[in-house]
Amino acid sequence: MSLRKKIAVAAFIAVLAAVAVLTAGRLIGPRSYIIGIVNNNHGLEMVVTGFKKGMERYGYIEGKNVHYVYGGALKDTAQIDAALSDLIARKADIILTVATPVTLKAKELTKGTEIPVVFAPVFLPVESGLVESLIRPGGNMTGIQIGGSTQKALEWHKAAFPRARRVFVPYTPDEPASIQSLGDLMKAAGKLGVELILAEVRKQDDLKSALSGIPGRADSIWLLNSPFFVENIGLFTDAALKRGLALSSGTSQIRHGVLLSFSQRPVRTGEQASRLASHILDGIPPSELPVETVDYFLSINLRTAADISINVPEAVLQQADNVIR
Amino acid sequence: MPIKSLRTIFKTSFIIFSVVPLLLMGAILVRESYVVQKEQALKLQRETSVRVTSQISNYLYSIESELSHAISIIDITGMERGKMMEALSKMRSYHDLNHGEVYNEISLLDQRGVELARVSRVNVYTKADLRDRSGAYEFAFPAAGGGVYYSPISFSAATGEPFITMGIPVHEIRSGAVIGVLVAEIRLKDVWALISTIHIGEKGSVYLLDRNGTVIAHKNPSVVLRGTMFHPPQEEGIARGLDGGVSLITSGSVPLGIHSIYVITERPLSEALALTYRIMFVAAVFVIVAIGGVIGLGLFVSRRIILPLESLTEAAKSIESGDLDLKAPRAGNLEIDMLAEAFNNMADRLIGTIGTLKRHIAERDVAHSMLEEKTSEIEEMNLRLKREMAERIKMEEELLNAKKLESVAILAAGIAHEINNPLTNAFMNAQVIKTRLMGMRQSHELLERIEALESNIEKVSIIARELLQFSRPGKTEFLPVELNDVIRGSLILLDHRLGDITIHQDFADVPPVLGDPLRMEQVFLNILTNSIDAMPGGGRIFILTSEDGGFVKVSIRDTGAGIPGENISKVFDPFFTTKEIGLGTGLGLSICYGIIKEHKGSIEIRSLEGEGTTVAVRIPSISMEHTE
Repeated sequence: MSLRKKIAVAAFIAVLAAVAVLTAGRLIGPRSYIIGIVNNNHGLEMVVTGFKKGMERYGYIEGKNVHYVYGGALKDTAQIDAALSDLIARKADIILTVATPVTLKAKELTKGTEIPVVFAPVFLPVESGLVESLIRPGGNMTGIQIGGSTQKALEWHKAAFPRARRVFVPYTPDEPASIQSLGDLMKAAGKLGVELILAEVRKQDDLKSALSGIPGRADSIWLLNSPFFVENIGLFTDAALKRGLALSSGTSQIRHGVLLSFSQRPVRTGEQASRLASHILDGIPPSELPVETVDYFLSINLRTAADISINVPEAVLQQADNVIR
Repeated sequence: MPIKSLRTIFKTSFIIFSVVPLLLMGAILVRESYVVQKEQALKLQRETSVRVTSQISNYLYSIESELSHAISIIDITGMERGKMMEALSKMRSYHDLNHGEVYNEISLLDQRGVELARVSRVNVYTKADLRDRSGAYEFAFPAAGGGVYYSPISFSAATGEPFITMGIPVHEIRSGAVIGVLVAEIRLKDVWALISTIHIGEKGSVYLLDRNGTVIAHKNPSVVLRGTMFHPPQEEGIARGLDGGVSLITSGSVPLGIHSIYVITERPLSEALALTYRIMFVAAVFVIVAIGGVIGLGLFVSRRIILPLESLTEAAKSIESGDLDLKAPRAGNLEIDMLAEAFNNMADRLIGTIGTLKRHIAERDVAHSMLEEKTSEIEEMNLRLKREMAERIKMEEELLNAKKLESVAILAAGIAHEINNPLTNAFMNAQVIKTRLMGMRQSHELLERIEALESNIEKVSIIARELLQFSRPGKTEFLPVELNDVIRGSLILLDHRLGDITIHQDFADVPPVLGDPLRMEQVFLNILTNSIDAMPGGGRIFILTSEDGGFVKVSIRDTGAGIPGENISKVFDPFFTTKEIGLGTGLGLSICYGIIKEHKGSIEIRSLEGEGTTVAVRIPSISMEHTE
């Protein structure tokens, strides 16, 4: 090869290399993340909505740099297992678990995988064994906890229904959330001078039986933080409306028949969870992200109040975050 | 003048005008980029600091303002407890549009610092839960007239949520006296959230420090929960950051009563100056590529121009030194290659021409040799011819001389013969007359005249005898003769005439010659007589005899007047004389010439007027005679 050709080839290669080096970074492009969502509670669908909305605020746009794997609220355990396994196989960058049962399953299946899990919400994550502590969760999980609103919820119930003296409280010993919230309720009841009429139930028939047999002296019904109870809230509202009793809870349920709730707003909870997820995608491990507590919102259903002839004081209404008319 | 290498000039020029400008340009570009980008990065971070500082200030100051206002428009301390609780509950339930629930708890303290009421976001407090907070700063500071109190930021042990406690004095409307303090526990979770959402580049961050340097807010909560401490630099700029890396750091502060919160913006220098580094990288790549290109060009020039020029120079020098075989290489079709080709062609032609010339030279040499040979032959022939001519001329001269001499001799003989008898008669008559006069008186005058007459008659007789001798030399008798002895005899005979003349003799042991001693004597007598006659006032005569190639040479030199050049050729002519009339017949050298010729010898005369005359006689020796 003549000298001229050698020089030409060398110059061409040099220019090519320079262009390649200079443009390498630009051609690679930004990374796209896979976020899987597993939810078995239709009532918490807004958590997912809030989560995606929050992620957008942090710059993670669906279809641009993030891909969500979510098939809607699941019905049974098998579906939960399958969904989680699929996400693990895909090596999802984050798994969002909605509610405690799904989160417990995710804890079990992601063990040893290092796939981060953000739960929103979970009742008592420390007591449930999901995290080591709220401040330093450890492991591969962090998220938003719910719980601790029951005492204040009872106070609000008393403020909204000053005549409340005796509250009928079905509880199930099989759920930690139910037991924990019952404990909080009992503390608040002691301070507020409210009598709790407890009824242990384990299954739906028990619940039906309990609600149909509410003692006459009860003036209120309490819906404890329990997935079982939330699933069967219709039984509660029917009983409350039928008996003209004030139904309140520390859950977010405020459908017709429920007088008052003091709890999270699922959208807000989802937004809170999105901040944690964005931190994780920024490189902070979940073990170093403290578990946050949901914000509590007071909701009052005036239609229910009207149906059961309760006049909710103005002062309470003024402090409510959400009034259903 | 020392020779400058083109390669050296090229290398120097290449470095000065290519490499150095490229490097300088790259350095200047990088430096300017660094300076500008650093300023821009600092400016951006300052703006972020100001923004965050403003947000936090606004948040806290707005809360302070709201509470202060709320307290001022209601006589909360005068309310009964239920209403007081309701009022506090309403205050606490305030939801900021951006921050949600602001207050975690609100308490109202009386002027002694005892809680009159307390409401919480999540907890239920009854009268039994009220506390004496008279010793707490949140009561004491405002109660003492210090204004609004801000506590240091604290964290919930259970949740890690940050809080700040604010103590706002409640004034009696008319006197302005502090009649209580409203203590609010402010939730900073959303401020924390704000900090965590602020991104400065990809790895930059904003965080808050309290007055002790403890990080109280950071996008990574664990940094806060670890109790991380950091002391920011005094001045904004480049310094070690929170994680120890070199960062660009700016700061702001939010004064909160006697405390302050410091807002620090930090960005890794590598990211802050990424553009500069990229420019540096691009410039480096560009410079490298450019230098590579220039080097390539340099190599090209070196290989295709410098090297051929050097080869051409070598070839030229080779030709200069005589080696015509070295050729300048040709690598391509550039002008330099064409020059090399032209040079080679020129060298080939030169070789051809030189070859032709050499051939011609050789032919010429041959011709020259032949010419020289012929010339030598011709010269030889010429010389021979000249010699022959000279001999012929000489012979002709001699013949002529001989004829002349013969003629003269015949004439002389005739004259001598003719005058001899009269002379004899005249002399006899003179004698008779003299005798007769001698007996007579008064005859002296006549006697003198007769004696003079006798003298003249004698002189004429001598002349007649010489003429006769000249014309009839007589019979020569050849015998071995020692010339040294002949010369000596001649000197003896002339001794009486020497006077002031000194004779210098240098006689070699010469062999005898075959000749007539008398005649030889006559020769040397004539020659010596001429020498003596040429030095009337004295002088020197040098006589040298030697053997000269079979001849005996006799050289007689005098220091006389010499013979004028125009007369040299005439000295052997008969009757040629430079003496005055009566002092010589002019036949002496002619006679010598004839005698020498008779002896097969030669006689030459050289003379310089004013210096003297040298006569060289060469007579073959007896051995020479025998050889011939």
